[in-house]
Amino acid sequence: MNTRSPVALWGLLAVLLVVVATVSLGVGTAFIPPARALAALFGHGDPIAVAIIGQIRLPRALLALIVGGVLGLSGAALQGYLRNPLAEPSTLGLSNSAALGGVIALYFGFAENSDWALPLFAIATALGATLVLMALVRISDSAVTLILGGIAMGTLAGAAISLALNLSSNPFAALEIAFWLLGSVEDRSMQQVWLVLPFAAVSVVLFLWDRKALDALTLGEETAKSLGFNLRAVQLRLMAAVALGVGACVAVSGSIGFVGLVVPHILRPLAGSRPSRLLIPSALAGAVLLTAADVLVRAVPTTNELKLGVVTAFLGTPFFMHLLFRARRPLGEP
Amino acid sequence: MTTLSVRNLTVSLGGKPILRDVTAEFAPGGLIGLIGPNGAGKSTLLRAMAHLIPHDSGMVAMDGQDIDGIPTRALARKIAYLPQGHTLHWPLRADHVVALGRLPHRARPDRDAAAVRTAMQRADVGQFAERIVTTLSGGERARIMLARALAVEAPVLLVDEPVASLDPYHQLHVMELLRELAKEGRLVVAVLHDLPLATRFCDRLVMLKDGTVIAQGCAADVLSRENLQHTYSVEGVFGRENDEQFVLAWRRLAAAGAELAHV
Repeated sequence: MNTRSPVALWGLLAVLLVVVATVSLGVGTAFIPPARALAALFGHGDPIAVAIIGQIRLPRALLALIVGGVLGLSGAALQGYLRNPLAEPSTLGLSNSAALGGVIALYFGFAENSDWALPLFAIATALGATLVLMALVRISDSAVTLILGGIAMGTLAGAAISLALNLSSNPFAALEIAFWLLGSVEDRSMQQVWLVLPFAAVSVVLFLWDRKALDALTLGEETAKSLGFNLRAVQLRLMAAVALGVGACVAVSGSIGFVGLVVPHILRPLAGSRPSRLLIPSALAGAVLLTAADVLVRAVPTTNELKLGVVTAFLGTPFFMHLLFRARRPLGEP
Repeated sequence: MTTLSVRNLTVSLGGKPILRDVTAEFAPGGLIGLIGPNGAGKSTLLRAMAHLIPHDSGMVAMDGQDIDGIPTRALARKIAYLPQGHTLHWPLRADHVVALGRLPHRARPDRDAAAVRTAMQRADVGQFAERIVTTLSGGERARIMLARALAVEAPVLLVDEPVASLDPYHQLHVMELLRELAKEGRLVVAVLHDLPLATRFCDRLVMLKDGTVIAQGCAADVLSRENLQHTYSVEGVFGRENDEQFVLAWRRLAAAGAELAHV
């Protein structure tokens, strides 16, 4: 379907994004109707509403949008680059690795001294994990090896995080780390938006830069090379994009899985399987999905607000299983 | 008119020497076949000519210029390469696959669409344009991939076993097409295992064995009784049909047969 009109799909997703973002501004302890929320966004109307929107809801909505967008885009780009429908930051252990960096920054107190410590540590460990994975890809073309390598790294990072929690002398610090790991954009400020934005922007540019190389890689590495692509440079840019994007997102929102995995699969029947055509729709749909999930965590009445990572896993996993059962054929085929 | 010269080329893969001091001239004007038994180094030579693998020594020159010095993108517009097999990792539409051949060029929608259409017509796959390639047969896929290489519209076309999975009708069609492209002035080099097709359609053959050139020249000279015995360990049957010569590999030589029986 629709493979001839990518712009129509972009438009549809962009409209959806505006709708969920507007709803996101209104939903919370104090419900603000969309019209008032939009007025407050531009500084008009009730000063309390202006304060709530400007200081609480807007940063939250923007972060869900940015993090969802980067995760959706990372999933689509990694699946395209590795030619593997299972690739995404969390199945490849990259989210956990970035989380480990964040935990190190929190555990050793670096995060108290500088706001940049958390994202920089998360980016550094994500970069390290990406390097190991890419080295593995060079040794073996097997998708199974790569996924197993990703699982191994994710497990190792998970074990190191558990160790930090285990050895933590301060139970409140341990709880803080544990809650941060669950993934959330609750109680964030514009400071965190400004923190993640440059990394996310560079990451998006790098991902989109190589869209044509991802298409060429559909024919295998040798043919892609014969079509004029320098695959080493492509790999370097992609590694940097994943590390910067996922590292910074994990730093501000904790570990949020399944968005990168599920989003490209939802879109393939609509946009086709050409990797370049999936990138922008995946970014938009990832942003829609995470913003909608963040609306849901506020709309569901619970004593403690649900964590975003918990909701995406609860919704994402059954949906993914549904796709697997319904497809009755290997993932990635139409 | 673009020529490729291979000069004293030595290539090792994984520490094992594959090509040893190969020297050969590839000039347009007629279809050139690269023949030899399995493991002779044919595909390696083709990949080295397409600048896809590094070499230990020697050089490949295009119109006298070392291809190591030609920027990757510029080279991709000059040399179209079709590997063995038909790798396709995602289920794309046939015309989208063929359009990948336009990637080395600056995007010009009308020009690109025309190139894709022409390439698909010439490879006789126009009717599959909107089909998903993974739903096509092996032979149909192979022709889609050939169309992808044609869509590059490069002056040099290097194809590795282009007829391997085709039925006889399409084998003849693809060989006729390759010869036609060569007559149009492109440099077309094809790795072939089919000796009757090689003798009938190639204007020049380069025969490899154990990484070295055993013979090169016209089909009658290269596919001599002695060369067939020495290179392939087979006895050939030589025939003629409408003034066109053909060679069939007819019988394994006793020595090779004895070795196999021994194994």
